[in-house]
Amino acid sequence: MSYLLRKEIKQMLADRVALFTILVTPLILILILGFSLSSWFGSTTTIEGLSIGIIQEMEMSEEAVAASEQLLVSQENLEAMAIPDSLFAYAGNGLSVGYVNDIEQAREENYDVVLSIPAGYRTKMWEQQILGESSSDETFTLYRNPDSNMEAMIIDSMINQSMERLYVETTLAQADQEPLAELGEIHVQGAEPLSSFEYYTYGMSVMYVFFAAGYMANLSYSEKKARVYARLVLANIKPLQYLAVKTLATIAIVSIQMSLLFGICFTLFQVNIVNWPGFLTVALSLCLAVAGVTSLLISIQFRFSTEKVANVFMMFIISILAFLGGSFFRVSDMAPVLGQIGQLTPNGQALQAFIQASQGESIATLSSSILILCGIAVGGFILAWIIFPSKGGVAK
Amino acid sequence: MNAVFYQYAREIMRSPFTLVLMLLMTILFSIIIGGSNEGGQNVYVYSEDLTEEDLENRLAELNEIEGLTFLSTSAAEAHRMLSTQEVEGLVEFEESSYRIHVAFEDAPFAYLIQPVIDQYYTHNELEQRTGSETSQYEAYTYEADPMVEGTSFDQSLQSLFGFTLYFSFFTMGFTIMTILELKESRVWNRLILSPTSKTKLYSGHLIVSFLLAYMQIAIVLFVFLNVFNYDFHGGFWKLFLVIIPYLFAIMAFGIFLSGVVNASHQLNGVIPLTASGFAMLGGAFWPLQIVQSDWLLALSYASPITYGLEMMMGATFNNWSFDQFLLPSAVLLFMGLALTGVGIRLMERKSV
Repeated sequence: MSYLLRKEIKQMLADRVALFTILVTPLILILILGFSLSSWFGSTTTIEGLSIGIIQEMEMSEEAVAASEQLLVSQENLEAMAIPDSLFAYAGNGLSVGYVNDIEQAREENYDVVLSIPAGYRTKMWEQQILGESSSDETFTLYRNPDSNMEAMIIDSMINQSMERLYVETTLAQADQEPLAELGEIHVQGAEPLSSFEYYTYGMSVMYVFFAAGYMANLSYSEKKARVYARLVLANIKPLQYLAVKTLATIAIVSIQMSLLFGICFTLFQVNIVNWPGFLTVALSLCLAVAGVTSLLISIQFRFSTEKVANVFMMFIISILAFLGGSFFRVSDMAPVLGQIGQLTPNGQALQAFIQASQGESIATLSSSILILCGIAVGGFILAWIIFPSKGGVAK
Repeated sequence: MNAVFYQYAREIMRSPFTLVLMLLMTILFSIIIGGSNEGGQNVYVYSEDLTEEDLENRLAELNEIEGLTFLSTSAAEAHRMLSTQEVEGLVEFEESSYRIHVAFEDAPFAYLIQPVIDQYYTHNELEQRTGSETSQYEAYTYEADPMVEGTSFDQSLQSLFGFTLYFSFFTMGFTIMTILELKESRVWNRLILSPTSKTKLYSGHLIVSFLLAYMQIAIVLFVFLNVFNYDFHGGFWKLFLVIIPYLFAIMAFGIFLSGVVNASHQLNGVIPLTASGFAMLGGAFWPLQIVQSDWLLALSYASPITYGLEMMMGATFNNWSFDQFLLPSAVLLFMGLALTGVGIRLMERKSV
């Protein structure tokens, strides 16, 4: 049987387009997707480098002089508690604040957001903070720069939060109540952010192993068409033996494909896998699942004498599975339903398990994915064994 | 040429499976993606202390905030999503405090979501402490606007257009593949011997593939106009004009690819690859604005989908004037002419 296996692998290696499809194209796609969507994955944010431009109708000192007479508080104290200016003091040095004349100038100087403060706004806020109420209803406007959307949103929510705290503190102070304790905390799971390159290394690999399945099925059927299969049967090779060889060859080719893809990408992008045994188990069960699918495809083609099955599989099914399983991008971001459907796909399960293993999740967490993949493999083998014509079936 | 049309008509009637499948898929994907984008960012919340009813009530209150959709989930599912980094973070609710779990340090999620959750909890706390008497809250709010008057970007239309363009690439490729199959089964040789000229044979096949793709797009657009009541911003009929250059260009790509490969079955791998590559570069799956790499943006000019999508958006919500359509359609026509020429030459050079 080993000579048959050698034949299969030699044949696959001789098919340049097939090799190109299963090895080079995933690499190209990993690069394209990795570069273009790097901002979608594991982007981190700090206050460092954020910038705010301020447009004011009236200088703060002018306003403070007028208000200090009225409220009987010294000008320095007023300036120290001016809103919104004093809010930025919390943020420390990372934040840069500048004064501009109008929005045009702010856009040119690339501020993330611009605050436009009308005259009398600061006075209103002083009255709010000291007297607890104000007759004025001036309010400032925050303009977000569309070119730096994320930064602008972060500044917006920071200012929002500061105003919120100020409101709570002032209200509690005026009601003679204790200040509020922190109600929440942030808990960091601890792992490194997943880079887009790492994500797509898994995403594309779990997609392209199925192309290997399609090619194998195609190749088998063309052997049948070219009467190679008939001659093999004549040479006393049992039909199921033929199927078994094809399945084994698929396992071999997919393992080679995955080791090359992972090897190249892990070296290139310096990916660190925490749980190697788990990772390899997932890879192995994916290999088996692909082999199961291949044997099923071959059986269907041989039983019904059609080559359409592998074509439709490669043309549509793989694309749909890849899309649903999240190989192109995380579909759950778009619709949670899609994410749940995606978890039913073998590639979606494998993708998820690869990420979990690389992040160091225990084998217990991975076990469900591994079981599903092995289940697909076993199901494929059994169905293929039932369907494959064990007698005859040599006619074109 | 009529014979070619007749042959296609019979063939489609005999096995309409692929065509119907492609139509259904386009509609399905556009619905799922177009329909789901309206809710804004999804935030998952779970709780181990609160009852399900209590949690749902709180989420309903939080869901009144625009731009965020709060969804409840289980603790196990929450752990899975965090460990696969499917979400950057999620929120755990307790009776009077909350915990934000983030998948890694400095995740933007914490910055964006914490203020919202914090506000919700502090306001509840405040209400309990001071009673719900006159609140000065209004004084502490402000307005937030984008710097420039934005164009009325319509995400659901964009993904509808993106997916129709993407799937029409498949239809086109699949029909052009029949030429290769005819050549491989030697039927082509017999056809050449017949009185039909080669030009007529080629143009017959190409016109059919063009019309099939055109029909596919038309049906999808009509379904979305009449069944799902999409608003095309008054540019519905213009769409039927602006897709012509695009279809011409991808037809040429189909011919070119058929000329490059050695056997028809290789197209099975090459067409999805090219189509997905172009779709990704051209912004069919996501708006090009989120792409940050400069050289990828430069590459997007090579994708016909970029121009097709631009024109479709121009015809609807971007309200382009007539001369704005000229450049993209000129580029597409050029691509089409050049690649048809090269492609047919390549196909003719092969002996089979």
